[in-house]
Amino acid sequence: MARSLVTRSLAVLGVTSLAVAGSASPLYAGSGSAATMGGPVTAFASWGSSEKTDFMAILKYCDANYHTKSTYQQSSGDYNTELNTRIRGGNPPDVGFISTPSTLAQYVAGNAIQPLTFLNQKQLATDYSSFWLNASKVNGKIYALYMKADNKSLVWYSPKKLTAGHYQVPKTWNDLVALSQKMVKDGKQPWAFGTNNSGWTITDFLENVYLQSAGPQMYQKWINHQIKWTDPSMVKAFQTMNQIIGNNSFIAGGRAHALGQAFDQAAKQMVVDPKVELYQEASFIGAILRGDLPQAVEGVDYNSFPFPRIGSTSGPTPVEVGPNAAIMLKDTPGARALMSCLADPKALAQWAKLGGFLSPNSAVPMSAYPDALTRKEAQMITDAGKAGQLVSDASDSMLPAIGSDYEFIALQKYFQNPSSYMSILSDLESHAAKAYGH
Amino acid sequence: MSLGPSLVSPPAQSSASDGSGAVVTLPGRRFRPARLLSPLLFVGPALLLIGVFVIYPSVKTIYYSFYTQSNAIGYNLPLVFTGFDNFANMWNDSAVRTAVINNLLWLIILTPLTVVLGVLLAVLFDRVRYEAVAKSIVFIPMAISATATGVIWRLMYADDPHVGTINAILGQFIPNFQSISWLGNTNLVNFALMGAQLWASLGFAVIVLSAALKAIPGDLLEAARIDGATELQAFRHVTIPLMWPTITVIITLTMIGLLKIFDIVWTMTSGGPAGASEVIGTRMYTEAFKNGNTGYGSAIAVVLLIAVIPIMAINIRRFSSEGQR
Repeated sequence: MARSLVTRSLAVLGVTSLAVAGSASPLYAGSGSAATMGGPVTAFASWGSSEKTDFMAILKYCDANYHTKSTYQQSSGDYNTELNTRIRGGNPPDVGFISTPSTLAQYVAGNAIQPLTFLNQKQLATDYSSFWLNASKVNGKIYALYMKADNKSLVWYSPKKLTAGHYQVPKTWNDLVALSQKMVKDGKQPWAFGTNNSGWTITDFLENVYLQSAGPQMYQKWINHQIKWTDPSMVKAFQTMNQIIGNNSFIAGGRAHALGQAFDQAAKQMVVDPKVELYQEASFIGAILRGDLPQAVEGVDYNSFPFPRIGSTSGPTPVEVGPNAAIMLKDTPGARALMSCLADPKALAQWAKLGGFLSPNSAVPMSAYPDALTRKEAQMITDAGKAGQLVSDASDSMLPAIGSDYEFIALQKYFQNPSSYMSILSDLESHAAKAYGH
Repeated sequence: MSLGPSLVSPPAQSSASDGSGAVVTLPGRRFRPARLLSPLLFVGPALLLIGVFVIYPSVKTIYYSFYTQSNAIGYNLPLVFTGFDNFANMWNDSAVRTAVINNLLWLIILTPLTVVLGVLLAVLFDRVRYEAVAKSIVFIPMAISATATGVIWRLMYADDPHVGTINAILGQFIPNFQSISWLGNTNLVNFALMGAQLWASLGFAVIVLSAALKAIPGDLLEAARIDGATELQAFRHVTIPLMWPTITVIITLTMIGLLKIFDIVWTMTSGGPAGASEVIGTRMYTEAFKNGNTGYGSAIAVVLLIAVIPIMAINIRRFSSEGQR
């Protein structure tokens, strides 16, 4: 016992001296000295496997530079459910990580999370574009620190197969449809889909089509249910989407196969199956393919291009992101120190170096990203953010009563029978009207 | 059940002292707290556990079912009393309707299948020399958790014949066979799930029915044969009636198990695709925990509870009538 205490104090001493050597950045820690004190902190997230390893490395970085003594707690399944249970049970973690912006206001309303007023607000205002600042605020106070984001406006393809087929990367939606038809003529089934267990992959497809065809303003109205699901712009988006999803010959393995396969299997199908060429999903697919298909080479066997423009082609491409925010549930010196660390572009740059990580923090230099693929994905987010063309995942931003399970199942039904979109839309509208009360 | 004989003694004080047995004959003139103590010590711990883990949650669930807390993934937002609204809403909820229909499908198909196959296998195993081996094989799935069963069968049903054993086998026998998406086809998915459940639960039925079969005295069957009964007649008029009490137990246990089926469905499809394989259990979980409708989820749970009660009542009545015989 005594010995372990000695070892522990020695370890703390060691960490402290390391921290002094590494010079903690007081800029991000804010003015209060409490934040630089550090201490024990629990970080509760859903990251597993390689994402977990990477996050642990960042926690280690924070331990060394921000004097935290962090413990990682991994959720066993449904993150939101588990976090809620912990909050209700009076056992919240010090710091949590949420990917559903819709829940932020509700956590604030329930007094479950603490405002991040101790962070250097001026610094945050320069490091983040207005989209991110708005998304972090509830009642004018910053509650969420967006340190990680997924670029959801991507279509994955195999450069090797594309070259072999003498195809070109499409710039517009019409190009994409024409390319798909050409691929079918060449005996292919170009589009991989993986909608098993939930229909969230189809929501992403819909969101991209809607964003490109109706624009960010309408998209935001859609999230807040200021337009109806049966709005002409939405009907048009479904008609547009049907040019791909509605075409049986486009769907790799047929509809039942797509409905029975998980999203990561579909990603692999796109790389491995010689008949399959395209797959729409977010930047995290890169990390999954790196892990699951170690022989496949990034840039050769798989790569991504921006989701093509529909209609207008001027200005930067609107981009949909899947945001990931750190929230502070307990106001302790350790939690403050960890949040300060996660606001520090140096820490985020460390994270970026590990790959598969994009940060909304524009102070993270592009050079921190390890390869051309992630650099391009990060650049898309930064450019769209500057131009006010950034939106967050709509289903994750809507009230859970509509944007979660209900929309997923509705869109699976649509996927099963694409011509039924009008009845699906009116059903979604009546359910949304009930959920929003308007 | 063993309480039967002790009831013969004067019944006046029996209710308080049944458990201790010996004190029953004492004439109870005065209330003695010490007498209460020993039965309480026996029953107390179990009662406490049942109270905390069964009764309290059940009462709380029934309470919640009359309240609504919508549009929030759980923080302590005030609950609003809405009476029977949650129950009324279920009538118009197509997802709940699908879940109920699917649950009925599970009951109607899987209960008879379990019993018939159980009896058949028990009788057939009884007649072979390698009975122990055969029974062990059927029983092994019982040692596997339902979640693991789900994972195993998801692989068994996989489209890719290099992974999916079922498609691989069918491909061996059928020329030009196109892989079937067992879990992706909304018309097949329920039956595919039932297959996995049957594999997992048949062993229990076989073992119990087999024990009942062994308990039938050999001379009864012999007498039947001497009287000129054919094997089929002996089976129909001697074996089945004598096994019947056990068969009804298997029927009720299977029905209860199927009504509250959740784990296999959740691990294999989560109720998908497009909600085609939803059952009451998955609906309840999704509403209460994923959609944040604690009240509505509780109401679904209450309906499930009400559906299970009659079957349990039949089972308990059977047990107690057997005790009196």
